[in-house]
Amino acid sequence: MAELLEVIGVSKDFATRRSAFGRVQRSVAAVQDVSFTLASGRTLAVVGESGAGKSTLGRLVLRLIEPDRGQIRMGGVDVLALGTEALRRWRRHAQMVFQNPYGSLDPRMTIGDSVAEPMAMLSRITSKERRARVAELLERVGLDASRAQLYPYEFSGGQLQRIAIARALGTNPQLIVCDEPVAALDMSVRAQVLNLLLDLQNEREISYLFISHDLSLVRAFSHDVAVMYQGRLVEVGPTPAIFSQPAHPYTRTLLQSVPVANPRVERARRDDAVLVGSTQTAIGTSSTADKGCPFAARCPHVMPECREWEPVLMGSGHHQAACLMVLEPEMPSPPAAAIATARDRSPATGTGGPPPARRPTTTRAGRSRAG
Amino acid sequence: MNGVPALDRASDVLLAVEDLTVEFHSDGRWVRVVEGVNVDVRRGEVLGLVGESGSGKTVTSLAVMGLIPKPFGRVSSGRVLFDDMDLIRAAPRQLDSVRGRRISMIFQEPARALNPAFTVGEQIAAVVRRHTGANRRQAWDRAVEVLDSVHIPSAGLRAKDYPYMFSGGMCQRVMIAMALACQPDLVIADEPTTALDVTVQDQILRLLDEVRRSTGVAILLITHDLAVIAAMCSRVGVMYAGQIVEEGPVDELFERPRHPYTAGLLDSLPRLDAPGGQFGAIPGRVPPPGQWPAGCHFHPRCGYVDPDRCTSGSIALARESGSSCRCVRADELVLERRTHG
Amino acid sequence: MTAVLVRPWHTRAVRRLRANRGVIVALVLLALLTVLAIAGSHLAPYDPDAQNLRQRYGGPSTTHWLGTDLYGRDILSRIVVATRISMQAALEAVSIAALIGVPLGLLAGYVGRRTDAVLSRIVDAMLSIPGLLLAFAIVGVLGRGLTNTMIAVGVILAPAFFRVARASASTIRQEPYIEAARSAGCTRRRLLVRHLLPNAAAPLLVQASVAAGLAIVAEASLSFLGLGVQPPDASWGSMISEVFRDPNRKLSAMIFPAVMISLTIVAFSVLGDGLRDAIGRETKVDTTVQP
Repeated sequence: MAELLEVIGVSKDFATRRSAFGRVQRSVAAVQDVSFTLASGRTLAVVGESGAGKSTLGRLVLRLIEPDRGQIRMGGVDVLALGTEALRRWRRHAQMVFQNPYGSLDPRMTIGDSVAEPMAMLSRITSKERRARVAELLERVGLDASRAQLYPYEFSGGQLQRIAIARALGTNPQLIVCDEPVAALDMSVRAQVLNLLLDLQNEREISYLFISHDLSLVRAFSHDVAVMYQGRLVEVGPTPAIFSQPAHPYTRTLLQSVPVANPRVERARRDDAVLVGSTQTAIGTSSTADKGCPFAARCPHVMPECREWEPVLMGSGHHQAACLMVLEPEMPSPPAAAIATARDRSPATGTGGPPPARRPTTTRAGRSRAG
Repeated sequence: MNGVPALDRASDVLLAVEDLTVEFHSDGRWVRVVEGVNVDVRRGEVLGLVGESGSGKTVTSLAVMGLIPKPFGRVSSGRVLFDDMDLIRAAPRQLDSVRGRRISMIFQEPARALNPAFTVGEQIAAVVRRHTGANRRQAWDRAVEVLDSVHIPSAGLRAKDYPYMFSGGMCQRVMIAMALACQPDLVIADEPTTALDVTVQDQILRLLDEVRRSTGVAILLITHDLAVIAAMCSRVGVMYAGQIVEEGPVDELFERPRHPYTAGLLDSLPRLDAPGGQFGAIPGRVPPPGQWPAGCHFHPRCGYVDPDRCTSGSIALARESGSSCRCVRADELVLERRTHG
Repeated sequence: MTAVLVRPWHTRAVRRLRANRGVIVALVLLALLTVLAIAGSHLAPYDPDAQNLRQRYGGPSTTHWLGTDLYGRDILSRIVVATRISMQAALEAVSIAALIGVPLGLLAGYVGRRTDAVLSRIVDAMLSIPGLLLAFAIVGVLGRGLTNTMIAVGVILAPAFFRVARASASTIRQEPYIEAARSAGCTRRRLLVRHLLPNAAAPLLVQASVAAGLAIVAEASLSFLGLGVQPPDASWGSMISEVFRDPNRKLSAMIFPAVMISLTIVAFSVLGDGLRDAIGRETKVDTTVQP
C-alpha cells in the first residue's frame, strides 16, 4: 500500500487581533507543525477535544484553508504549489463530508443537483452521463433514485448524510475527509452511515481522514489514530496500540475519561482514584505557550525539561508520541492502562472485577480492524 | 387509574409520572409527542431516560417542570405526582414553591442558560432569595458556599465574575450550583454533558455523583448517550417515539434487554470484539411525531415483528416488579446481548 | 438532539403571504395598475392630449369622471396613460439600482477584506450626499428626460441594495453548504450566482418592493420639478406640477394624481412589509416539535 497522502510540518495561525490597517497583532496557533502520512484504502482518525485543531487540520489538508507553513503531497502532487485553477481541478481527488447534514446541502438546490455539482465542476462528462451517475450513486448509498428532484428539507439527517457521501463520491476521489460525519445523527442511524463508509472503502480503496471526538467510535472504525492537543499532534499510531498502550499523558487522560456502555465497568472505574490533571484548568484558556509542551500545565508526570523542549514526535516504528517520557526506560504505568485493560474484558466472562489499582504488567493486544 | 397496578407506592417514590400524554400544535392540529409515559423517581436514586431525537424525553422533563410552552403545547392527560401534588394541575403559586426549590433543572448548553448580564453570584443569590426568603447577605453567602461545593476554585472571587468568563465545563458547574442552592429533592438534568468535551464530561459526571452521595438528591438524567447512562444511573427508562418501551435496573437492561429497540441500540454501539468492525444498524428511521405507525411504534423496524399482534391496536406497557416492557413478544424473545466492552 | 428543518424559504413564505389580508389588497391594486400600464391607451375614454379650453378645471361630472385639468384635458385619461410612465419609471429605476447594487454587494460580502473595504467606502460616500441633490447632479450631467432621470434615481437607490446584498452574503458565506460547494470545485462566479444569490434573494425582494415605492416618489418629485417627464407626456408628478404652476390653479385638478401616487406607495410598502414578515426569520427553526 503506497502512501497516498503526506503532510509535513503544516501550521496555521488565526489572527485574533488586528490593527486598524489590518496588520496582525495577536494570533492563536490553530494547527502547529503537524506531520503524518496516510496510505491508500486506510483510515486515519484525528481525535481531540474542542480547540485541538482537528477540523482546521482537515480543511488544511484539502486546502480549503491556506496553510501558513508546511507541505502537503498527495499522489505525487505538491498540493500547495497548485495555482487557483489547477487547485480547483485537483479537488476531484479529495472530497469532504461535513458534520452538519442539514447545513451542508444548499437548501435551494435539489439533491440531484447537489450530488451532480462536483461532477459538473470537475469532470468532463455529458449532462446525460451525469444524471445517470447521480442515479447510480443515490442507489449505492441506499436511496431511491427517483427522489433526486426533492429538496433537502424532505429528508432525515441520516439520509442527508448519505446524500452528502454520494456527492463526495461523484468524482471518484482517492481521499475523503470526514469531519465528525455522524456526530449530529441519532445512534440508530449512525451505524447505517458508518457501515456505508466501511463498505465504500473496501470497494474503492478510498482513504479516510476521519475527524471525531468520539473515541469509542474511532476505536472500531479506524486503522490508525492521531491525537491532537491544542493544535499539535501529540501521539500517532495504530489503533490497537493507541488504545491499549497510550504513551502520551494526554491520550491517557482522554481514554480515562471516556465512559463505556457497560455499567459494571463504569462502577469499577468510578471507584478508582481521581483523574490526572487539575479540574481548574479549562482547555483553551491556557495560552498556547510558545515554549515547551502544551500539556505541561495539566500533566501529572511533568518534569522541568518539559517546559523547555520543542515537542516532537518520538519513538520507533509506527507508534510515536511527543513526550519526553518515551525516552524514559522506566515509565510508570498509569492507572489508565488498567482501565483499558478492564474495558477489554467482556462482562459475560465474569472476570471483570474492579481493576487493580497498581500497575499491571500485561499489555492488551486490543482489537484491530481486519484488512 | 387505567389499570396501572399500584406498585410499591412506597414512601421512597419522590416523583411519579402517570400516563403522561403531551401534544403540540402543528399545522392546524394537535400532534402527540409523548404518549402514556409512566416513570417513577425514587429518593436518592439516579434514573436515566434515554432515547434518540423524537423520543419525547426532553418534552417529558419539561412537562414535569410545567415548562410546556402554553400556546403550542399542552398536557392532554396524565398526572405528575410530587409529594401528593399533581404538578400538572397545580395552581401557579404551588408550582412556584416546587419549581426551583424542590425540583430544579440543569440544561444542555450551560453558557446559554445563564444570563450574561449578571454575575454568577448574583444569579444564584437571586434564586436563593426567591425561594427561601433569605436576605442579600445570607443569599450571597449561600451562593459562594454552593459554588465552592462544586469545586470552583476561589469561589468567593469567582462569584463576582460574569458567565462569559467561564469555560463550558465551569459554566455547567455553575448551573449545578444554582440547581443545588435551595437543596432540592430532585434535579432534572437534560443532556448536561452533551455539549462538553469528554474530559470535562467526566469531571461533571463525577461531580454529579459526588453531589448525589453527599446530599441525597435524586437525579433524573436525560441523555441520548448510553455510556453516560451506564456511568451514572441505577435505573433506566428507554423511550422511543413518545413512549417508554422498556424500563428497569441498569445492569439488567444492558445485559438482558427485553425490547428489540433496546437490543438494537446496544448493538449499534461500536463493538470492540468483532472483527471487521461492522456496526449493528437498525434499518429505517425514527418516525416523527404525527407519523407514528399503528400498533407498536417500533414495528416497521423490528426484526421480530409479528404481523398479527404488533401492527395494530395499542401496545400496553407490561409492568412487573422493578421493570417494564412494551412488547407483546417480550416473554418469547431471547435477545442475545452480544458482548460489549 | 433537535432536528433542524431548513425549508427553501419560498414554500412557507407563500403560505404566510396568502394569510395576510393587507398584502392581498396591495397585490390586487398593483395588478390593476399593471393592467392599466399595459393597456392604458386603449382604456382611456378620451384622448389624453386633447385640449378643450372652454372646459378648464371642470370638476368631476358624468362626462369627465375625474374632471378636467388646466387645459381642459380629461384627468382620468391622463392618469391612465400616466400609469404606464410611472410604473415603467419605477421598474427602470429599481432594475438599475439592483443591477448596480446586488452584484457588487454580493462580491463585497463574500470576498470581504480589501474589496469590501473599498466598495463600502464608496457607497458610504454616496450615502453622505442627500439623494435628490445627487439625482440633480446626475441629471445635470446626462440631460433632462425621463430615462436619464430614472438612471439617476437608480443610482441613488443602489446603495441600499448593496448593503442588503452585502449583509446577506457575509452571513451566507459561513454556511456549511458554501464550503461544500468550494470543496466541490465551484468557481467563485458559480458560487455567487448559484449559491449566494438564490439564498440572499429573500431580503432583496423586500428591498426591491421598498425601492419601488421610493422610485415612484422620486419620479414624481423630479417630474414635479421639471426634470423628469417633459410635456406633453404625462406622469402623475408632472400632472400635479403643471396645475401647480398655473396661477389659477384649482385643487380639484391636483388631488387625483396625488391620490394615485399615495396609493401606489402604500401598496408597495404593504407588500414589502408583508414579504418581510412572511420571509422573516423562518429559515432556521421549525417551531413545531422539539423532542
